[in-house]
Amino acid sequence: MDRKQIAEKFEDVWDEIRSRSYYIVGVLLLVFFPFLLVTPGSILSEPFSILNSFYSGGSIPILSDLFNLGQEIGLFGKNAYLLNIIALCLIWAIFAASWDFLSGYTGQVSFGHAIFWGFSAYVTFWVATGVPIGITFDPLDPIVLGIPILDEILGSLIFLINAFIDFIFIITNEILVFIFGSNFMRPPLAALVVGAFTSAIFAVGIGFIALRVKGPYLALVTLLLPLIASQIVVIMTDLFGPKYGIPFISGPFVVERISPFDLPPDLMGRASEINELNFFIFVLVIFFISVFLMMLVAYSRIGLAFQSIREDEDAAESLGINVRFYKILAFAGSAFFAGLAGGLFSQYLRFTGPSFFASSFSFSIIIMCVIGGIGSISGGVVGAFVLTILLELFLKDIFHGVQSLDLLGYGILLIVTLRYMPFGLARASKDQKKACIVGVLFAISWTIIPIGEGWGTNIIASLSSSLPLGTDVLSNILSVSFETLTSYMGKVDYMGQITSSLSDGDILMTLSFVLIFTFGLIASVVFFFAEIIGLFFMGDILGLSRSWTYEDLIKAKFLIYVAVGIPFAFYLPKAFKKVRLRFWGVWPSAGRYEPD
Amino acid sequence: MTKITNSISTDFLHREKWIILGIGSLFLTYIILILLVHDDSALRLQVILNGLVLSTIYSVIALGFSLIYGIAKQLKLSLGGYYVLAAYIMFFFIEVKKINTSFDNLGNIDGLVIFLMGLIPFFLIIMFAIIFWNIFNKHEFFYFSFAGILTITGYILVLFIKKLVNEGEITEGLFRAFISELLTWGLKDSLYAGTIIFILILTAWYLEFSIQRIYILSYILGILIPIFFFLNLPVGYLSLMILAVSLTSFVAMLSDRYLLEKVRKSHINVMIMTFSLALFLQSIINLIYFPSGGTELVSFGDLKIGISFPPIVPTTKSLRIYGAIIMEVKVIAFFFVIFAVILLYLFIWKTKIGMALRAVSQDEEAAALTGIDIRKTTAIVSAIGMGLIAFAAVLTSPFSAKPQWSPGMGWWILIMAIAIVTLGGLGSLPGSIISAFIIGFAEVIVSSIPDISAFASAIPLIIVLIVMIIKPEGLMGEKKELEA
Amino acid sequence: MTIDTISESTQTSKHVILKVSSLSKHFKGLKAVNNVNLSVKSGELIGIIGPNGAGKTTFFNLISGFLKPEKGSKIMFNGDNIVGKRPHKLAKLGIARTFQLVRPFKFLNALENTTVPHIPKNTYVSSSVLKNKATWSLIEVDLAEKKNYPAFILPHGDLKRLDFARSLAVQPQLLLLDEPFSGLSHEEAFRVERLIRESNNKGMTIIIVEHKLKILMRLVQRVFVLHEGRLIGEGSPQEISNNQEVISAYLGSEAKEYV
Repeated sequence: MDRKQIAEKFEDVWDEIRSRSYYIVGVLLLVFFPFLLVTPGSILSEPFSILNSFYSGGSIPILSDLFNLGQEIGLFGKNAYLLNIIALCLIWAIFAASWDFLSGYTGQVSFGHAIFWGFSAYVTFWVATGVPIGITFDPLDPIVLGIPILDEILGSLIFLINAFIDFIFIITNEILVFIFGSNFMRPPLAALVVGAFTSAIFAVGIGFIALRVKGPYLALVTLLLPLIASQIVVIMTDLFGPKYGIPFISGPFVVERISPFDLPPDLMGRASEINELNFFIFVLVIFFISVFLMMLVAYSRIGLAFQSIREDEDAAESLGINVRFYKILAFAGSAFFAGLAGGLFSQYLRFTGPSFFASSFSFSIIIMCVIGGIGSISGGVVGAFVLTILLELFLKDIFHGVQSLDLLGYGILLIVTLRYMPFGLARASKDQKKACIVGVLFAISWTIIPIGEGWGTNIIASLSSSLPLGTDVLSNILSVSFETLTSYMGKVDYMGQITSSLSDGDILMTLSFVLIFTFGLIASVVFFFAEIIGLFFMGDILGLSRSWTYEDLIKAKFLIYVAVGIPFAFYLPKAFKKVRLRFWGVWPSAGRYEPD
Repeated sequence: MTKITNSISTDFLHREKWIILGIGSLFLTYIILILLVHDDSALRLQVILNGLVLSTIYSVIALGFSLIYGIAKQLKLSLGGYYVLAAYIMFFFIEVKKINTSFDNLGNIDGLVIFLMGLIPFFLIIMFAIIFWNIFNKHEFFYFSFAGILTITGYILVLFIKKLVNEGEITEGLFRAFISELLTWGLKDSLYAGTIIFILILTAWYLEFSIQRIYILSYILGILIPIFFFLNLPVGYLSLMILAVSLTSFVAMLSDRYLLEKVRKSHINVMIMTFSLALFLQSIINLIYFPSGGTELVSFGDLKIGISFPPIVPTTKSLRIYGAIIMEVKVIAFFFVIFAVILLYLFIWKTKIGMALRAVSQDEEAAALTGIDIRKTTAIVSAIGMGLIAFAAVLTSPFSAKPQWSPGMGWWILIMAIAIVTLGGLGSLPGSIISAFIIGFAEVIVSSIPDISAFASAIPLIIVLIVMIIKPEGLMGEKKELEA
Repeated sequence: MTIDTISESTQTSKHVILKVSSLSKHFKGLKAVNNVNLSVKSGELIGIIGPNGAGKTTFFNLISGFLKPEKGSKIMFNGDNIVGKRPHKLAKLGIARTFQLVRPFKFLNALENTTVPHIPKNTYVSSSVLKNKATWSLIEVDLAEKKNYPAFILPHGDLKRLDFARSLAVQPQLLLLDEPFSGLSHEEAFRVERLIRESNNKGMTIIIVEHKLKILMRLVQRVFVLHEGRLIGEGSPQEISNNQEVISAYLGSEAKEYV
């Protein structure tokens, strides 16, 4: 190859990497995330396996300082709690991606995906803990109507149903014992996989129903399916356990050194703490494998066949695509991964119950996929992360104890997204994506900077006495910013203690200052008013501030800043361009042509 | 051509014959079951009456859903949200009526809020006045205002007359009692009654009735309302009900017009958007009513509000009919629903706007070409459909909400609507009514048999599943042949 | 030698590729296709004409497996009865069709559109070979430059050719074209006509439903006329344009002009 060809190849590769930069950053963040937490002295620095020792070997300087800063501000919870949240994000991400795999690619929209994850949750639980089956098993009680003929018929029918269910369970038991050995208590990974596979088989059945109905009719039917399932589960309590669900007596990841591949020695009376790091690693690996597999299929010719079904079923069929086969395949594949997510979720909660079939789970993933972008696996992942972090980290604390606040947050976010980014985050224009990231950076900066001891307590005091917020805030901002600035100069860190060296947190502070002062007065004014109005609305009108701690206040402010920062970051460059055009004419920008 | 029409009609009847036979035999089975299972004739009557009531409620809900699909071709999953919204608006109004608008509790923000809430009827009248001023010319404005004033003064007059009839003679005590009653609830009720007139006028104007007709309507109703009040009919309650229903319809219309703009083209996106709207409505209501979480409702100052069986229906008495016990409010609901369905029928088949709706349901593009405004039609149909739901909510939610009266009760209603409409066929109105009866009676009968009563709530879902497998387009839906 | 005589000379003693007996389809009392009997020899270029509503598209739907005919109908393809078989099976057997209104996969690009029909037959083939096959399908219809364009931005003429490319990719023995010339300009129609002739020369049997009689009559060898579901005429374009019944039902008095 001559030089030109090499240069071209390099360009191609570089383009590929650049277009995937978001993915790469995301993957790196996820993988190296626990480093932030495993600082010396933290509770998680117990090595248990290669992976764990990898993580506890050291910590990355800047990132862990960033993380500590966040912690000091109160933006995150405790170390372990945050790991749990990210693990939850990953579980939702698998679930959401599985929905997108089905509905985004084949166009068969399912409004009841929760049925697969609930089904798998039950199966996982059974396989992991062993369901009591045997002669004493009697799912349906005889029904007495009082009319002899009908009673006889009904009686025999029920007897047959009972016998059939017994038969199925005995057979399954024998098969599982044959495969896994006499002890029914299976390690979590095996249970998970069995759950996922049975979920896929179940989906084949559902797929046949789905073949008969199309479009919105399918959506309606799938809406109803989990409800039917939950009704059946609730009614047949002998089989499925009590109405409120069954707790896992064993946690699969207990504090002692147990890996996902070991047998839990005994199941009764365990300490019910989960080793968050181990669980996180487990979930992370399954996440990567799932997403990899899903992407593999989605970007292959099978994925193309799926898309052709979505676009035009009849045309696809006339071209030789066996539409029925691919539809069922999509259902089965999607259910497999949904089943993985469901099993993981039930292990995370250490609980299984009919509430797994709730519509809110089905709807949540749809919202996640819509926000992230339908028709792409990564859309679901992104949406899941955004929504779960929003919910768990922020909304739960701001809206203490309000029920169904996930719906509130999701609802608003969905309406906003559909209005401005109808194809989701993954397909938003470059401007919009940049605005989102910059907006979040702005929000972080503005949350970090005006921190000082005096200010926070003043805010709390003024909230609780229902005085208007405005007057104190301005003076506090100014005085505290000055304070932090001088403290930085004098090498005093933000908590008032003297440090002798320039820590990385200081670098961050400087960057934040630069970011803020670059956009100067406009930003300050915008954020200032946003904060006043937002806090007044949340605090006084909605009455939420009564249950806030200092951290909750910071979280609320952060949310307000994000909500204001993103549109701000979006419109600012445009305004700036207009101003530049007006006052300076077109700015020659190094040969690049920037059309307005 | 005649050859074809003949062959179509005979074949059609031939096909429908089986469905009619099937439905008929199903109901026959129901009757046999009732007769066999229960020996007590009072119990039998109970089952039949309960079935009737439940079926009519289901049919009105299904009608609303089916109407919106049939005409606007949108499957609006926000049904449950509007159900809940209407019920809570009604609840709000009834609680607000109890508020004493005195000036003492103006000390803090809470007190201010309560005071302002007590002034709601005045705000309403002012709002209508402003709207009317902007829409109508001076002439019409005064005519309509006069109709409203007529109602209000008539109402107050009747109040006075009633007090007079009570006391027997005109004394100072009479005046004092009259004034105090007027200030506590009389004035507000009269204002609410006046709003009925204004809502009616606005609706008639929006639906492009001729101005003379609107005049006549407003004056007739304006005189009728005080007369109804004189006859001890619950005009106050009625006006609140109409207000709640029309507010919900109005919100539905606005959301259809502004929220669903971008997503109108895609069925699935409409479904996603509308159910997120339902989620949003539910959580807003949750936030307002349960700010501290848990099951304690909000308290407006001293006014603490309990939760079980909120008083949003006019009576809580029960009637005995030949041994069967039925709640009075269910009977009222039954007749109201029949009245609403007849009104709906008249509207769709006998008015110009109804004809426009039917045209749009058959061919949207062709209708647009003849000058029908599709967006307006879609908005109207959303308002009517959700209005029916709001109607059902206001009348029946305390006793037909599952599992209990709470901001989450809308989801079960949505499920029922879907089940009924799936069984009956998505585009067909008579289908919805028939399947509402099928499912309603099935549910009541099953729940009356003691051993299997737990399955009662699963029945509609199982029926739907079976229908989906056997005949996906429902009883009366159109079978979709391949378009190619 | 003109192109027509070439195709005529290849028409000697070929087997019957499609034989339809007693084909009927009723829609709620309307007899859309009423007891149609016809047979088509392999390698022929056939036209089907008739007024709107005559049942032409229904006929195609029945043959391509999208509709099930009434009991008693028989459709023999290469000797096997294909009644009740699903369209994708028929595509495997060698029947391909296009639709009256173009039906591209809107949000996929042109290359992906032509890749789809290659998927069923090439399961063990590597993806680069698959891509080559798809690209070749595009080259055959002169759409190769637009291979990365999403289908929804392509103009109508290109979409018609894309449909054609897709159905060719199925490598059918029998190709059913539903109004391939509708909406095309003179030049585009000429291109499509050339494609049809080329495919027919390679041995493909092609049946065309079309209203543009000028093009059709000079293109095909035999014509079937459908009216109200029945076959009212059959023969060469010459014969058909002289057929009284056909003239009164469809062609009108300017029948002579079409030949």
